[in-house]
Amino acid sequence: MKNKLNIAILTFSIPFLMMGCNKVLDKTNLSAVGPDQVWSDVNMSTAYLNQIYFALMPGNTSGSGNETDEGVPYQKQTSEWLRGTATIDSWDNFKTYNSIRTINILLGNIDKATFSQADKDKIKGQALFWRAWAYHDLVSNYGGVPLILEAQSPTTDLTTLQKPRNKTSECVTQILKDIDNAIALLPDAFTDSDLGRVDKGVALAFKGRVLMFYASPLFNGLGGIASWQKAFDATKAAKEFLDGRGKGLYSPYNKIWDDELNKEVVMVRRYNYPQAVYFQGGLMPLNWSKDEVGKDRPSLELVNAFPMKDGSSWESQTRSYDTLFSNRDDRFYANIYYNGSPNQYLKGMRDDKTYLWTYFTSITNYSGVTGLEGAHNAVTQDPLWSNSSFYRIKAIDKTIDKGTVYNAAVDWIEIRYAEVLMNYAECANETGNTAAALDVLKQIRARAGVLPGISGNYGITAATQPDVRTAVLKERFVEFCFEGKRMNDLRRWKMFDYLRALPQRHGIAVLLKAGQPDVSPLSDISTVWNRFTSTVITTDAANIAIKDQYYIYAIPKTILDRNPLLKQNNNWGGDFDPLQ
Amino acid sequence: MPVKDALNLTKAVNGGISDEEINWVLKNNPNGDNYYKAAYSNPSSQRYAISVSGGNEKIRGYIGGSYVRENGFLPQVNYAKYNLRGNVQANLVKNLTLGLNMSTSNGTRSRFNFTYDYESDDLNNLWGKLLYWDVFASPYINGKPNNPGWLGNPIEMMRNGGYWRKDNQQIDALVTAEYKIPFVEGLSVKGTYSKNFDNGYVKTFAKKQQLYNFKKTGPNGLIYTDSLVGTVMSGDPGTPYLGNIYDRSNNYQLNTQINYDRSFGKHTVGALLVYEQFEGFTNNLELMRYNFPLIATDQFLYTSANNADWSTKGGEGQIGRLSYIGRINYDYDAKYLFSASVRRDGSTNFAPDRRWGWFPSVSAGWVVSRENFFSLSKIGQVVDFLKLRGSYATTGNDILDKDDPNSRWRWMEQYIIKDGSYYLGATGTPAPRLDYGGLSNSGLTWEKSNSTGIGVDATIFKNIRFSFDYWKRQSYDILGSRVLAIPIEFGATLPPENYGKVNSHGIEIELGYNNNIGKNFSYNVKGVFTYATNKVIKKDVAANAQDYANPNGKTLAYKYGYQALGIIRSESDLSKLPAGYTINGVAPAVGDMLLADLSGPDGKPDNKVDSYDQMVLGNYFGADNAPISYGLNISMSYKGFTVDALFSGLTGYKIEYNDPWGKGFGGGGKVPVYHADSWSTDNPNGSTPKLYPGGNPHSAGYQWTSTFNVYNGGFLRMKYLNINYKLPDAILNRLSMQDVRVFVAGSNLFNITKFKMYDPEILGFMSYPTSKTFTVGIDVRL
Repeated sequence: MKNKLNIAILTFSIPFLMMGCNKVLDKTNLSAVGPDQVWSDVNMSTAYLNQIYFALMPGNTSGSGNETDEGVPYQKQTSEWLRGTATIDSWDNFKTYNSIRTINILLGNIDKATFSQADKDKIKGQALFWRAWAYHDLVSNYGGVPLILEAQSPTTDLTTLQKPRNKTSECVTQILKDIDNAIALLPDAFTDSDLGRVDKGVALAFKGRVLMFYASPLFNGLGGIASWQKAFDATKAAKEFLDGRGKGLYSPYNKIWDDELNKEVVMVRRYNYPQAVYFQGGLMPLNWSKDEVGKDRPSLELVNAFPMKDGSSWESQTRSYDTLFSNRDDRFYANIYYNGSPNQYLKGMRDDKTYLWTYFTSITNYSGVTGLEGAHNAVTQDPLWSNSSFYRIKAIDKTIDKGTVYNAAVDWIEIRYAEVLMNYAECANETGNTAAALDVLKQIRARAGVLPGISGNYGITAATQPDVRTAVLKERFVEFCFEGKRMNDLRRWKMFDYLRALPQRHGIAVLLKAGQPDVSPLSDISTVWNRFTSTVITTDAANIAIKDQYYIYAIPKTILDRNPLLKQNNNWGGDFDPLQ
Repeated sequence: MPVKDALNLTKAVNGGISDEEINWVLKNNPNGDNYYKAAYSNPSSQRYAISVSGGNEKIRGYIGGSYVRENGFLPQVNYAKYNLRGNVQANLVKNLTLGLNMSTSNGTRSRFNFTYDYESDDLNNLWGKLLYWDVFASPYINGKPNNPGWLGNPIEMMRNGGYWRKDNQQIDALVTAEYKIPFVEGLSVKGTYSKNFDNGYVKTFAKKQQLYNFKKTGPNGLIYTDSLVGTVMSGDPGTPYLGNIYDRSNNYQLNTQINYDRSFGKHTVGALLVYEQFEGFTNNLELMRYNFPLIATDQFLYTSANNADWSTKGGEGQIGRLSYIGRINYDYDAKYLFSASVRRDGSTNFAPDRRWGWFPSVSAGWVVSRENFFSLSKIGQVVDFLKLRGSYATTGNDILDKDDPNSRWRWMEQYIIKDGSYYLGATGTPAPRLDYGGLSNSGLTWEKSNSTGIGVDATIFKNIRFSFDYWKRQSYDILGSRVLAIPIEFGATLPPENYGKVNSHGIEIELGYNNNIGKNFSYNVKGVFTYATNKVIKKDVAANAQDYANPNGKTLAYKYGYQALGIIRSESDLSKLPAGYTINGVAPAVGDMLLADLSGPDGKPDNKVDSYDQMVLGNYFGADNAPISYGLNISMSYKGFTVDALFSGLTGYKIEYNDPWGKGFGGGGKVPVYHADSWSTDNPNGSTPKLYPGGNPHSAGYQWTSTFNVYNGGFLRMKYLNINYKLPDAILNRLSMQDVRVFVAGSNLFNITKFKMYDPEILGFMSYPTSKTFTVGIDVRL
């Protein structure tokens, strides 16, 4: 009997005995840490800050050229903006508020952190910079947005979370305040393993960029908050600070994106495969790329904007497009790939021992619905060619091939010293200091390999304020092509009428003359150019009809639906005046 | 649509194709299915099983094994699994039964290496691509794999691009001990311990393939000639590699229970108390090595020795669960039945003070036909059996987001360590990242649902069986984070909460009839009908949502879109539109689908058809959400023959034309029927809108979801037909066998549906279709 009872007890109790020695429900998330750990350890806090960098530091603006006069659209797929068919839902970057919250959480905790004040200041300075950056991202697109400077807490009455839009001027004031606070906290430079973080020089340069943006005609200074004078002072301060740190223009121009961390680099996102992969899909000719196509194919408008070696403009030339490649400045060769250009800028081209040939052997229709119709040459078999015959070279990884196209690594330089200089020049010209502006233009052109000429003016003929303004904008167009700056330049100077007057972007149809033999893969274009004829073609689906309404974007419906206090911009049928 | 029409349509809309090139395709690839044919082989499967069992009073045993092999529809795609199971039950000590059940299985899934849908088992994505593959490039020219440009050659990739092979080994052991306590009759205690190991091992090997370039001709250079101009290595894989990926899980479940079962005269009483404990641990490790300096071979020794070509990844997870269950049942004379139970479940997904949930249930039944007053009444003469049932049950759910393991910890504030770094530093260093894990809610607890059901089972005239069920379910405290309810400027979702509420109800009716004709022929017919619907009572919604976007008061599976008013057929139709009328930002043209301007930012039509102009298009979208299902099962047997057939169908739901590539009109030789009757000046009575080249805003009429491209998804399918023959006993005896059966079966033999563009039960045009299968088999018992 006793034996039997023992069996019963044993059967029933073994599990309970086992349970006693391990806490079944006492589990933890093995891939997370708690808040007390994050804000008590400078390395943890820095890792949190890194997440902000990850989200906000820009990378390759691949494809942005399709939306401006820098490039032509893929297969005549003109964007809705340039077609004039954009709607209120066409532009949405309100997700930036996720980053703003991330930053606000940091700013709400950092003062209570238990590590040294110096470490706190460094982290806080960077966070303030990024908050300014994030708000500028929004305000430059939409005008004023709700200024949320503390991470809101969830409440039961959700309407208390709804905030109305602040005036554009209030937002810009806050952006400038955050930048100034950041400047005060940031070190002059980060070194070693921190190199690549936002330092004082970056914040000063960004301040110049911001002030210049709002000083320009689109926002017209917002009642003096961002006057040209303030913009000039800021760009001058940035330039002098960076000069003092040994920053400057790096020569030659085509090495800026090859020689990492050179002296021109002010603000940078570093890339390295496989830890951080640089995106360059769609930029390379399909022959040496895969499954993404048609981005940033240079337009003839851009090609024509590059000056000649002697500084004179293409428009002043009497030469034909057959030899458009001869005697141009260094930037032309560093940015534009043309039919047979003797530049094996891709590993695939070197492996295949060839240049890229963009000519056609026959053309049946110069104005097909999706582009040229005809037979592309077989020396470079590219089934989906560039509609302009040109390809972008800038900031492309030269070591990758077809298979490794998604393994690229090129440091993306968001702010180059050249931008600081050009901002300074523009602001100088607008404040009446035309001589300072011209001096910058000469420096920029000298670095671009333009010859000074007898007069020493590098081909620059502008002298009056309006002419220098035009010259500065054209110089920016070529110097910064495909760096994501063109659209904002067109917006801030309200140049959509220029786009509409084009009235389309153009390319060149390069055709092998009847009876001429195909080139060989490494033929010298300077001797075979006369086998081809070049014909200017249009590359848009329809004439550009971008509306002045689009200078400031609309707030999309999904965003308005979630906050009844948000008013639509008055250029999109609402009551909010984004220009105040 | 036919390749010829497709190419002509493409020529008219997109250009870039000449008649010479079209004629070449019609001659060389008339159905446009060269790739498809080169890839496709009839899938097949085989299954074998054998088992032995036996024993005596003291000890009983079972040993069984099975083997399954399936060959997919593409080369190198197959699955093989074997399974072994042994079971011993022993009564070595009086009243004590000990049991041991061990099983092990090994399944191997093999396929070629395909970068574009790495983890998919069914290769849906590739199937879809093959349907739309370029009609010009033949996969092989003179036996050499052709290079069709950037796309790569999928056929050569399948044959020579390496492989992906996953072994899944399972080892399960179950130990049971049951002891009947001798001094209390009906009382027993039982303990079970179940241990499960699950080891996944993937070996993946990817190598480049040599492809050949052929000279192309034709006015647009589309025609491949057989003149070889060079070779090239395929772009995929980008970098050849060899990888091993291990996934391991180690779980156990421990149960102890006290059981009481006893009858006293007409009273039968049962009671059960269970304690259940579960813990699971998972870990995974991925090891990859890229590049082969010598030759691409599937061995690590051949891979690059440079550690820049190596990568590793890994992770771990843990989970626990505790439950207490109690149940009692009682019945009187099999006439009054009653049962009640309660569970108390504890989950690691909630804070310690919120992790326990109570889930009680009760059910009762009354077999009316066993009452004398009934059985003796006139109705009782007709109704042989009648039972009334009722039940009430509660259940719980503790999973916030099954795809996000971090969602299990949202009851506490946490910062997630991100996979992947931010790269910076003078020499370049990957710097770690920490991300805020989202607002937490320490009050988070179980999601619950209550179900009530009533039912009737009856047998009438001996042969007619009937049952009817009505059920109602209320789900509340549904787990979720509200997103839309707050401004996007908040910058996050609200913390997860027990927020949502959904009510559902439905009925099920079954009616069967069985009978014999003569001694040898018997038949059985059964019809089933079910109806189910639901209504959202409380769900996340934007403060200013238009009615169509407000899920509250609607069914879960509703969908919205635009209202299509018909094709604009003439200039005069066009001139009837208000001045400034736009659709997708553009003034419509003749041939476009006219979409209705239903509203605007001020709540009234504004002549702009945009996101303000949507409406509810249907309450039930997708076959999974069909409110009505019905089926008819017929079986007949005559001597050793049995025929069994099932027809089943779904109705009452809609589907949206789902074909992302074809819907947008990509052009080429493969254009879906969806566009076959598109409007053009040559086809002014076309039933579908005019087509435009890619990127054109006029394409909204056929790209946007509207009443135009939403269809009735109802269908009736012949699910299966089985024919079975059992050898007569006389022959079996002579062969000294117990049972020998031969069977032939077919499934999904046909489908009756109004929607013809693809099977409405599957996700979309590019999904792998429901396959028609034929099976033959033999089953022998010795």
